[in-house]
Amino acid sequence: MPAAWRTWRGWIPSAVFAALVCVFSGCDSAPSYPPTLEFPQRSDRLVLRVPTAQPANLGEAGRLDAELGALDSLGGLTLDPATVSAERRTTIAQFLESFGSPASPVVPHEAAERLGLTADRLAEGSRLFRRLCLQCHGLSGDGRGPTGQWIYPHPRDFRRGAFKFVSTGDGGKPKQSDLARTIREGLKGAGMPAFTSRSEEERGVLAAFVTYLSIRGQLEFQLLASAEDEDDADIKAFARDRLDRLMMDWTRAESVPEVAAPDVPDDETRQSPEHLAKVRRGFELFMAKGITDCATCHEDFGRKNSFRYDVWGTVVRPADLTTGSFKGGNRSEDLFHRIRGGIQPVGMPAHPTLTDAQVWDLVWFVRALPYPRELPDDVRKQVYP
Amino acid sequence: MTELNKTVRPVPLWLHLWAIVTVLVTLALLVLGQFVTSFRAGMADPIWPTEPWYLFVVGWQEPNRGYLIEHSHRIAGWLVGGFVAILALGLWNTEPIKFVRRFGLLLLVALLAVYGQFHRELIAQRDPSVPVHIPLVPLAAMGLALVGILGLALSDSRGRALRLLGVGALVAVMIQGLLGGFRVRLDALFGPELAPIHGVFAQVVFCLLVSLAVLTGTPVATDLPERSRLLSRQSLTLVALLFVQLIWGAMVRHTPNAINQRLHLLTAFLAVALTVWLLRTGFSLPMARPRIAVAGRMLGVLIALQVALGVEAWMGKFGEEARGGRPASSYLAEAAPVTARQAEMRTAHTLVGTGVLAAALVLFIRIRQRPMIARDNPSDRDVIWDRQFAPEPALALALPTEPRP
Repeated sequence: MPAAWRTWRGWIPSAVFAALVCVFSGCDSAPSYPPTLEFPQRSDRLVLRVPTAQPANLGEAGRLDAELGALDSLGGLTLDPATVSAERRTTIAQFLESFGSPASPVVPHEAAERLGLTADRLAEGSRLFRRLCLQCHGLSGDGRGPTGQWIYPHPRDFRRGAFKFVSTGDGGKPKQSDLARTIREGLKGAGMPAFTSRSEEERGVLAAFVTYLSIRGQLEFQLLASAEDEDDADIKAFARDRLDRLMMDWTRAESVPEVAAPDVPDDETRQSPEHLAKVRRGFELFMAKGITDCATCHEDFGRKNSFRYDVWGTVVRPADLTTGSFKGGNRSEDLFHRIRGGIQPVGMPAHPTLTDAQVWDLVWFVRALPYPRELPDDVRKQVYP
Repeated sequence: MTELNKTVRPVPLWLHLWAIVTVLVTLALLVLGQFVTSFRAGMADPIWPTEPWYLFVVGWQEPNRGYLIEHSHRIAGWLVGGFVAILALGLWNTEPIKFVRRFGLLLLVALLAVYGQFHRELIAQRDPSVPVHIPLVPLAAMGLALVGILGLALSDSRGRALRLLGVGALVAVMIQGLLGGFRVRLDALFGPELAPIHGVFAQVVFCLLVSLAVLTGTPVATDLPERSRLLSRQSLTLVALLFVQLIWGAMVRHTPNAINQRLHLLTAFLAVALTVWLLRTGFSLPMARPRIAVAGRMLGVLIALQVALGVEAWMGKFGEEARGGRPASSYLAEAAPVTARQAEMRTAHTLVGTGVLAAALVLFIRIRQRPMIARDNPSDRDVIWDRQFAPEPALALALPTEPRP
C-alpha cells in the first residue's frame, strides 16, 4: 500500500463526516421561517394623506423613513403608530394573530380558498419569499428589507394594498396573474428582477403570498388609521367588516375579463396609411385637454421632469414615453390597461369614457413615440421639432 | 557555511515581492467583499457583468453607499485578477525548459484572453435583443488552454509544483470572479445562496496566494527533528479545523439556524484549544521556535482578538442590542437593517478569521518546509527542489538515515 495512502486514509472518515455536517447545517434550499417567529407590529409611519404641492426632487435610496417623516411639514398627514394607545395596538395585534405567522400564514376568511390562498400554497410561498424576496421587501412586505436601503425606487410596500400595474381597472386590486406577471417580467428601470427562471407554479405561490401580505398589511393599516374613530369594543367588528371588504375587492378583481389584444403590426404595416392614421388619432387624443389630459402630466411627452407624490408618500415622475421602456411592461395589452385603468396609486387617472378603439389608438401612438420614423410627418415635427 | 547548506531563492526576488503585494491587494478585496455582505449590498446593482470602468461612466444619481461598496468590490476583483495573472505568468517564466516555458506562457495569455471574451459575451447579453445563453465557445477554449497548461506543468522539470500552484491560483481567481457575478445574475434562481459559497471560496483563493507568498520566499536552512511530527499533524489539523469553522461562520452570516450557530460556537472552543496546544508544542522545540516565531505569535494574537470580535459580532446580530428594543419573537436577524457598528464588527470578525487561517497556514508551511541546496551553477531560472541534505552532526541520531526522495 503506498505510503501516502497509509498516511492520509485516516483523514477520509473525518473529511466525510465534516462534509456531511457542513451540508446538513445550512444547505436547505428554501428553509421555512422559524415556527415561533411572529410578524412585528408596525412601527413605521402610516401615510394618510400626501402633500398637494409638487415635490422638488426625487427621493434617494436609504432615506425612505426620513422622507416620510418630512411629509407632515409639507402639507401631508402621517401617523406614528407609537401614538396609538398601547391597549388599541394590543387589540389590533390580537386580531392579526388570526393571520398566523410567517412560517404558517393563514387568511382567516371563507373567500381565501376561492382566491387560491390556501394554507399549503401560502406556506410554500412564504418559504420562497424568504429565499428570493425578503432581502428587499422585508419580513412583512414593508419594503424595508436590508438590501432595500440600497435600491431606488424603494422596494414596494405591500401593506398599503395598492398596486400600480393591474389589469382590473381604476383603483382595482390586481389579479393573481397580474402579480405573477410582474414577478416573471420584473420592473424595467427598478430594482425588481425578472424571475423567469422560476416555474409558473412557484410564481403563483409567490403571488399568493404577496396577496396575503397585502391583505394582512392593509388591514393593519386601516385599523391603526381608524384608531381614533373606533371604540375598543367595536374594533373587532370593524376589523371583520374591513376584511370582508378587502376579500370582496380581491375576489372581484379575479372576475374582470381579460382584454383581447390585437396583433402587433409588423414593420410594413406600421408604415401603412391606415396605421399612421391610428397613430395620428392617438396623438390628438394625447394632446386633447379636458378629454385625456395626458400632456398635462407627461409634459413634452414625459421628457420634462415633473414630480409628484404617490400614495406611499414617495416621489415619482410621469414616464418619459420617448424611451420606449415601460415599467409595467411593453406589451400592447399592458399599455391598454395603463391607459384604460390608469395607475391609481401614482395619480394617473383612468379613462373609462374612451372607447376601446380610442384607447388602442393611444396605444399605437405611445408605441410609435420612441421611433420618429413610425410617426406621421406632421406628428413627428411636433414631437421631435 | 558548506555548499550543502547554502540556499538560493526558488524564484527571482521581484516575484516573491509581487506575491506579497498580491496578498495585500487581495486582503483589500476581502475587506470590500465583507462590507458588501455586512451592509447587505450584494444586490445593490442587479446588472452583471459590467466593465471594470463601469462605476466611472454611470450616471451620478446612481451611486448610493451600497452601490459604491459593491462596485468598488468589483473593481478590486479585476485588480486582483490582474495581479494574480502577472504572478502566474512570472512563475511560469521560471520554467527551465525553453519550449515548455514559451508554449506555456502562450497558453496562459490565451486563457486570459478567452476569459475576457467570455465576459464580453455575457456583457453583450445586457442588450435585450441578444438571447441569454452560456458562451460555450470561450468556455471550451478555456478548458482546452487549461488542459494544455496542466499537461505542460506536469513535465519533469524543477519547480513544477510552484508553477502549478500559480496556475491554480489564477484559475481559482477566475472561478471566484464568476461565482461573485453569478451570485448577482442568478439571484432570481438561487436567492442569496451563492453568496456564502463565494465567501468561502474567497478564503481558498486567499490561502493559495498566501502559500505562494511563503513558498516563493527564502526557504528554510535546516530540517526539523523527527519529534516535530506531532507539530506537523497539529498544524495540519488546525488549518483544516479553521477552514471548517470558517464555513460554519459563513453559514451563520448568510443563513443562520440553530445547528450552524451551535457548530460555530463549539468549533471556536476546539480551535482555541488546538491553537494553544500547537503553540505550546512548537515553542517548546528549540529547532522549531525560530521557524514558527513570527507566524506563531501572530496566530496567538489574532485568535485572541477573534474571540473578542466574535462575541461583539454575535451580540450585534443575535443579542438584545441587535433587536433594538423589538421583541425576540418578531426578530429575524437576516431581515433586520444593519447599523454601521454592526457591519464593522462583523467585517472585522470575518477578516481576522481570514488572518487566523492564513497564520495557521503559514505555520503549517513553515513546519513542513524542507531545506533546499544550491546547484553547482545557480542561475535566475533555477528552481531548487532537491531534498537531499547533510544534517549537522549533532542532529544525526535524531534524523532518518536514508535520504528522502
